[in-house]
Amino acid sequence: MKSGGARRRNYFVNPGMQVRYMAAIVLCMLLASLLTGVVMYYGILGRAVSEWSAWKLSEKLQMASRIKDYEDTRYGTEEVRTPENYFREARFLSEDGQQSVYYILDDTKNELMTRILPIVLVIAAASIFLSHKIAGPVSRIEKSINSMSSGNLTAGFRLRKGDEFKGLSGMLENMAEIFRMKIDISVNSLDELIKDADKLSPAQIKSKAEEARRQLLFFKTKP
Amino acid sequence: MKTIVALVLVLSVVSYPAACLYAGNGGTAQDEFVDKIEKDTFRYFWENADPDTGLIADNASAGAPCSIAATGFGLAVICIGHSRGWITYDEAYNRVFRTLKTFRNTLKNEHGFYYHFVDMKTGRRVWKSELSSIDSAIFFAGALFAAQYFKGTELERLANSLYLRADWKWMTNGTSLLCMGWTPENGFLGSYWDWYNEGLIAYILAIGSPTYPIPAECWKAWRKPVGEYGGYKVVYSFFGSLFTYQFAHAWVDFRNIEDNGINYWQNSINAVHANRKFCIDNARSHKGYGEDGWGLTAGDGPGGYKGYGAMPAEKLIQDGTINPYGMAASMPFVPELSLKSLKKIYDRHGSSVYGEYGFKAGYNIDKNWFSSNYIGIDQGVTVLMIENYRTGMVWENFMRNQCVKSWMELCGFTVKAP
Repeated sequence: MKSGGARRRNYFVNPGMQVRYMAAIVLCMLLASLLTGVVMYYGILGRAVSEWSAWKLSEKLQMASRIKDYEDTRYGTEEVRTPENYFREARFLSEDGQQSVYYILDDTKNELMTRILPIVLVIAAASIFLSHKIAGPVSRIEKSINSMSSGNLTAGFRLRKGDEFKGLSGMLENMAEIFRMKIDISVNSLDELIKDADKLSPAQIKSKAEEARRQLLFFKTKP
Repeated sequence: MKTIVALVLVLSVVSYPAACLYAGNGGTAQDEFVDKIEKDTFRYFWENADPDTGLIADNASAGAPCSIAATGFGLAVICIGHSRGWITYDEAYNRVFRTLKTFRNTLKNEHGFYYHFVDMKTGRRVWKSELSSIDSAIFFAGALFAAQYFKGTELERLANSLYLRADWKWMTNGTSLLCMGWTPENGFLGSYWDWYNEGLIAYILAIGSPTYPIPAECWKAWRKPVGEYGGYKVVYSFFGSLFTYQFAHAWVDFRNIEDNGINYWQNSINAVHANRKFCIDNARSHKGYGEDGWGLTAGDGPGGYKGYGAMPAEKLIQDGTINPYGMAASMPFVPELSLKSLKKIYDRHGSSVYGEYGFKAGYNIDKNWFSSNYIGIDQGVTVLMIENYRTGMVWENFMRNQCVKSWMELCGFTVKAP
């Protein structure tokens, strides 16, 4: 089914507002990415540099040798002369290295979780604040339109400072003002007609009625 | 008159062993020496622990992980430090309590057992070490001792709860012996505690457990080979290392316990004498051996950590290395010999063998090698045995544990009158 008629061709319909929102979203994402990057970079790099420093490796080599000796003493494996046994320190070091990588990543993940949580909360609060600039006016306009639908043309469309849709609300306010004016003039003419019906000549009566009709004809009710 | 004389005689005989053993508090030069060793060695545990977790380092070298056995010894050593007035009640209580809380809240356990080596700060398993039955047992022994020392406190309940979690039955892997350990990667290790050695303490705690006990018959399942050296008959361990005759004795007072004709206390005395005789007999081969150079036991040597030992043994490893804790932890067995020899090597080698935390890990005169390190479990058994020699305080507290009484009862041991 072709729906070309309804397809929106220009997505940049309100450049000012859209750029502002794009900037806000990008800023939030940058902030979160920056924090993630910093935590991961310093968490992983810092720990990895320290874990594999010459000093630490020397300590680990000594400990690997000690662990091998402890095992030999406890399990009596010293005399088992397999090739694998000759390089058990290397195996210990390798296993310890793998475990270190795992712990570094695990710690970084935990660190990230603890750091990212407050940022998520800040972003959530900011998004509520930002969306309120849209949701607030929409809600206000909806209420006013509902009020107008029930005949109350005094309902205003005034928005708060910083709200979006200021132009739209201005137009709606203007529209309501015109409606009020047209209806007021019509009502005044009819009021005068009713009040002075006995004193007015037929021509004057006709003139007043036509004035009211002219004002009401402003509203197009038929296609 | 005859009755009074007889009574005095009997009392003298009965009190003789105690008077002999509980010495070292009299202010003589020897007493001061004993006090110095015990206090300096205590400092290893006070200073080589993580202040937040309470976990104690395997050895004094930089980057050493925590050994749960060293931590177990440390729990008792901290209590001894308080009883001797080196630290306050609050300091001792808080340190021990913090350590136990680390075991409850931070360390990973499997069926209540812990990994041999863990990170000092995070408590995570390191070196892919095994879940160790003996090292867990030594930790439990320390916790149970602390439970008695701080009886009636929250610490007592916490310590007991950690011991009660251990599923000893699981650790037998369906056999009648305790397995040495388990890893998540390969399951149960292929080695079992099947000889007379330090594993005794694990069997005692396993049989006496009120929650997950193993049958008392398991006590009979491990080998008790008898050998002789220099006229001394010994139920010996595989390597003949002296620590195998000391570790369980640091906690359990075997003096009056008879196991089908075996008195493990006397057995350890014989093992110490045999060890010393072996060193005297081999003094020509190794310069460090002799009347005051003995105590061959597992420890650091010029070629790394080895299971040094003396006859009788199934397999002998010796290269002239002496690990002084072998002599120090023999103090309750042979007080005079132990003190004389320790004083001799202290005077002869000074700071080469003795430092800030007591006697160092080892030395080898043949190779002019002197260790600068200290090993946690060596220092631990040293403090406990010195304290047992001086007051019997560790035995007295540890023997009050219900699990020890249950073990004796279930194994049907007769308690010989002192």
